[in-house]
Amino acid sequence: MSWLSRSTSLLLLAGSWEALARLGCFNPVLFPPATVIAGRLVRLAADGTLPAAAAVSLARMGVGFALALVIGLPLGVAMGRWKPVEGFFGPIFAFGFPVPKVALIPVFLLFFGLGHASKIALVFADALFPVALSAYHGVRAVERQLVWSARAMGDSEPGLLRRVVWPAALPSVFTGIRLGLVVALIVVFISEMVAAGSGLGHVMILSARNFKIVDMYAAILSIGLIGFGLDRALLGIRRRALRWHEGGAVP
Amino acid sequence: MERVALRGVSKSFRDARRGVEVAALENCNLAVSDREFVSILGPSGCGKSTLLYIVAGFIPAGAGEVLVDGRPVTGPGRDRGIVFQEYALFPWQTVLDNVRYGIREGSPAERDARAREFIAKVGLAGFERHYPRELSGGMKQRVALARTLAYDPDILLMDEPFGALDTQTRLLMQEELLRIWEANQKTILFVTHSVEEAVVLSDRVVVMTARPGTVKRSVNIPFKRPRLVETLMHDVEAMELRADLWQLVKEEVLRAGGAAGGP
Amino acid sequence: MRGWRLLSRNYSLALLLVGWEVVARSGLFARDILPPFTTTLARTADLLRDGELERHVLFSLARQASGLLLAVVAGVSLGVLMAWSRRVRDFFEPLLMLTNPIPKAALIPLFMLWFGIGTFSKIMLICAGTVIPIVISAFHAVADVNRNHIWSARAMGDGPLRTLVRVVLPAASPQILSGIRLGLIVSLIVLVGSEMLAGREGLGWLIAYTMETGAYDLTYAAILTIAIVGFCYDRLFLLLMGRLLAWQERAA
Repeated sequence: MSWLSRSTSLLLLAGSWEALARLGCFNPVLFPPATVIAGRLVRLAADGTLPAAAAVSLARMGVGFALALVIGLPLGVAMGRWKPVEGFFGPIFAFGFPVPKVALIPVFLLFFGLGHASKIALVFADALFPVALSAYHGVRAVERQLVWSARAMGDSEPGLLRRVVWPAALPSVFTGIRLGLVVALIVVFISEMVAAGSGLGHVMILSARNFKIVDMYAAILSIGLIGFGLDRALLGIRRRALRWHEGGAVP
Repeated sequence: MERVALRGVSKSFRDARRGVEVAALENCNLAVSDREFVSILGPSGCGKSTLLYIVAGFIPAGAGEVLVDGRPVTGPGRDRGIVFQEYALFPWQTVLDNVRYGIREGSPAERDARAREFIAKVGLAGFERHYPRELSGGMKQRVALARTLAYDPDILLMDEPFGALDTQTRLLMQEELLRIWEANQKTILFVTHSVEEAVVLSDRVVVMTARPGTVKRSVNIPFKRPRLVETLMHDVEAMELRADLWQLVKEEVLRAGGAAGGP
Repeated sequence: MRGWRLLSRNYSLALLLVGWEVVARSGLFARDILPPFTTTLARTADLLRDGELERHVLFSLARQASGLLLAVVAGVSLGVLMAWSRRVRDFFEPLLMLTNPIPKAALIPLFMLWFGIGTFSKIMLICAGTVIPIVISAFHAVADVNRNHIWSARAMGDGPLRTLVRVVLPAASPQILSGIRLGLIVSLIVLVGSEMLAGREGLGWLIAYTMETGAYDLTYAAILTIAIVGFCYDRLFLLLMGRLLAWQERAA
């Protein structure tokens, strides 16, 4: 299908936004035209305000997310393979998963102060759960026949984990990573909105509070673009890692 | 009287990944008389299921005429019951609900009674409240059969219904089908890749070529009914028929494997 | 004894609580930064007693439930429509692909601007934040329904609408319900986050307010309440799911 027809809904949306805004259907202060927003975005990007803020947010999110992966993936695998580990950590994860960790912002602020550490800690706490749980489920779901075949061919536990269990659990792991990324992004911006001196979330809420509406929209748009970009990147990585997967076209 | 007639039926599919049209069926001609049991036999991928689905009205024919009782087929309908190889039963419904699904006439009590009657006919009385996940493969297929029979379509379309079953269950199911067919003879179009099955069950066997599929040969099965599976296993004439049919199919199997260089 | 079994299976949680109590009382941290678990419990009881807690819990839950319900109705409908009609799918798919990865946090100031800081705004926010993942999961769920089920129904004389209601939706329900569960979890995050940022009531607001006034022990009480409410809510949903999907084949 041609590029143009695919973008019909998007063009329609942007077009109607522009039209409605210029016609003054809504309060022009609250509803600036799309072109004005786009223009401001370009300007703020060029003069460095947005890139600087974005860098801070991404760094916080990146560190927290990386920690979640480094700790969560091995932990999830361990829970899947060894009953005692599952017995200990299972209830913690089961209880903690649905709890909105943003409620813990005050605790993190009290312990880590207003700086980067509290945001990183929050991202870590939020991303850890889906990552670990999906690794756990993925490992548990690995077909017994696969493990037994490898055992029969003489694989010991470390080799088994690396060459059989991990690849087999990978599809599930990626699902968890994707969810973890979604949550991490939501949470880093919320924490920056609640209490921070820098970052895109901070810029966004500051603009809102100072009624610099166009700036606010520009910040929102850049957050959207970042989210989109990161998701695409993750899908690309997933496609390469799961080339062998029978599912074929991964959604 | 011809109940099902196909004239010059062709069908091709688009292979999206390679961007080419693949011809599944080419110029198929087939006629099924009233109360005739016809098996469609052929190698994997020859399009026999496609043919069945066209008669069922699930897929439109690419070219040619498809007539049921003299009228062109425009879509699925209650006159043509379908039995699939797998995933026929609705897993969220009990056995009773499944069998009752197609019955549309009569009061609720009557529909219930009729469903129970057919559940008993396939030998599963007592399992009405079970869910499909609690049943074995053979039991599931029996329920699927009961469901389709329960609303009494004149024509039965069966797509390798016993293909997913183990050999013993398969033989038992063949016997069951023969028994049921004796009781109320319907027009049956039966797709299979098993020569033995075709010989045991049908009045006539239509052998299809490899892809693009067309009718290679139509072979009459002369054995009188009622038939017994075990008797025909050792009957000399049956053995010869099986051998002949296998030769016909084998040619096509080799042709399919050789030409395409594998699946 | 059932109590013992519950304890032995969740001993790590019990250990955490004990650890909390011990560390808090040890003087390692200032008393107000980390009040002990028992104190937190006492404060929670206080809040319950003067009806404060109920009020905020009800506000929060009402908002979340309304928002989620709207999102489910709208989202499942659109998802089903997209799976059913090629044209609808081609129209909405690019839009969904673009808006899905937008972090829902970005919607918070936007909705604050458009709809204010009251309950209506929060409900709209939660709906907007959860509808897209629900649409996508409903779409995939319906698109993945086994063809043979649909064909069986059609062969038995069911028209498209009847097939949709009696066959397609039940068959797609496991995946749809999983999508709704994830929506539930995301909605709790968005709810608490938005209440912390603006508003006059709700559990998130309670946390922010008590933090500002320095009543940290009440903050912990509010956090504990949210944890329990969130956990119970999810459990109830999983129980409901289990009941509705009792017919499913037991996978791994």
